[in-house]
Amino acid sequence: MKFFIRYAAVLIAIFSFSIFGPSFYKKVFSKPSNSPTVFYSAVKDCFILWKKNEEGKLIYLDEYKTEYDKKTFETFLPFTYYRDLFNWGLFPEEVNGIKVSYENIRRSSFFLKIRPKTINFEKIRISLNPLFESKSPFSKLTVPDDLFRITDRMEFIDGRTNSINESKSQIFSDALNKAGFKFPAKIIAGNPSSRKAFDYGYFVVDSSNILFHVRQDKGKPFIRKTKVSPDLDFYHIQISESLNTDFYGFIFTKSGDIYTLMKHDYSIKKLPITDFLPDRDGFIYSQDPLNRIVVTKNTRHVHAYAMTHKNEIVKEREWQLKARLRGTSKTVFDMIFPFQLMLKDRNKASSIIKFEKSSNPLSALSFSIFLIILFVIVRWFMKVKWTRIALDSFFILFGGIFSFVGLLLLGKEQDDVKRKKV
Amino acid sequence: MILQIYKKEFYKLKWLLAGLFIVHLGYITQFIVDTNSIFNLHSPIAIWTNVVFKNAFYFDSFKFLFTITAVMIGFAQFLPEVQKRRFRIACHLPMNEMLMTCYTMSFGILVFLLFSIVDIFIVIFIGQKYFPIEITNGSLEIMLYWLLGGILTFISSALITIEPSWYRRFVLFIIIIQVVSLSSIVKVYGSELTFLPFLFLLLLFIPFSIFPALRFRRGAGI
Repeated sequence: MKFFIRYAAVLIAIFSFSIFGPSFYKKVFSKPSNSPTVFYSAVKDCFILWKKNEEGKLIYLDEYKTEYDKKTFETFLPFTYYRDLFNWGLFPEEVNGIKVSYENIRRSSFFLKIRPKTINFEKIRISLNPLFESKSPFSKLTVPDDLFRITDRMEFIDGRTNSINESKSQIFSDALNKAGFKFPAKIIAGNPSSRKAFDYGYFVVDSSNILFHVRQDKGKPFIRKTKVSPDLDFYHIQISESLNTDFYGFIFTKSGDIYTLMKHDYSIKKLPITDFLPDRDGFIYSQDPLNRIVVTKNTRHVHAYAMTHKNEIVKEREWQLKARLRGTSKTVFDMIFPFQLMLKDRNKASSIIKFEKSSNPLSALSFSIFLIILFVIVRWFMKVKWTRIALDSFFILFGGIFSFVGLLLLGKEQDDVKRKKV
Repeated sequence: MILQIYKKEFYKLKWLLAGLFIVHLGYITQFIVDTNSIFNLHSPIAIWTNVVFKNAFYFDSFKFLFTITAVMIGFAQFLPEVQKRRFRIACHLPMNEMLMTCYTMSFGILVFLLFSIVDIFIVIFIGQKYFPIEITNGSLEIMLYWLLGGILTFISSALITIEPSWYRRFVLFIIIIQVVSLSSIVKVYGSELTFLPFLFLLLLFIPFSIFPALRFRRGAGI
């Protein structure tokens, strides 16, 4: 029993130190990220970017590493900094032979940023959504008095009574049934904010993987079955209300394909993006009167694509990123910590307990053996029983520095000491 | 023998239990009044969306209450035993000392469970009146994490109190603090965490709690 008690304490120490130790080390030895913010300049016909240099100073440069001052940098991006350029009288009348105006930019600009964390939150959150009135006579959207869920039918829960609005639920469920919807819903995608100019409603994937458009028009259900193939492996749908785009939003698939869902006929168009995973990579989409720019980002690289409005790639470029823990700090980290328990994942909305082993297990094992030798010497001088030393060493072999520190801190018990003096 | 130990523990803790009863009653009253007034002042949909999209915990105050209850029971149960070395006398009772320690601790755990389960029941009962079932289910899950965290906190405060050596108390504190703060990492409804690591830690903590008790009985470090 005493044996079990002692090693329960060691296991708790391993658990505790493997959370605290590596995270403390990272906080101390991590260097600033060199991740750039990338734009495409139609004026220069190349990518331009800003990032922090080694001293932490913000620098502006193009993809050929020529540095510029902030004002010159802004002149290369007339569609992004048009307000400044108008103020300075530097706004060009035409870009790449195409006439541009303030109004023209306002009507065609669009920006959307989606992080894996946002997608993850959509996956885990409580599935209750507000259904706005899409054909409201008022200019501002009104928050409804109910939220809906789609389980074995579509149900509206009235906020005033916390009970199901039977008549409304029946009307919408019947309309969905009539359109061929198979309950329950697998994905319910929409923009639940009332801070938008108008409302597209929701795009709902039913249990047979068919995508439906569900909206409320003048209190009545508007249900449309889309042309999207049920063979598509839907992962996430991001809807964004904008008059400046010809699509409702983006469809992300599990395999990493990205499609735009077109407004005029619910067809989909594939974006020519490669090496993208929605649960790993961030996605930034922007458009101006001339181009569409997509930037995908993760901890290892930034990949930028400049396209025409017909999704034809004009330019593509990738930047490798330096890890925040690099060089000697990384080598030492991989050696002294055989594994780590992480309570956070930058791509997850919820906390997790994640086990990650050292990326160099051989050096971690070598270090553990070194610790065992050190431990045996110390304990031998303390006249600890050999059986106890052997068991402790076994824990150090697997728990590395976490077991070593834990065992040293817990010290020795009376029973550990040899009865006969050596 | 277990009943006698429970009786002894009850007499020892009666004033603390009365105090905790009043504090919990106050918290519950405050919770009911607050929830009612928030729903009177604001649109229910605004409150629901705040919960769904911003992960607002409408029962957040209970997290602190669970922690403080666990710590107080732990200290109140073992501090008098340690101060006057009564625990060594208890260890000489005609029963296994490990079993005696477990029984003593189980009383503290049961008291903590009694208070927190009543709190959870009331939060869920009141929640059902105001919130859809998805939200109350989510609340129950989060409060269960806090409950497990509370048990770990109770055991931790008990074993730090029993530990006779100040050096070892410091070491135990370093080892335990990270584990005890685990329950506070649950920040969203529908968290991807599972109860398994908590239950595993609980399994380790039960024998771990006997560790300082054995040392105390032996008089180590005094």
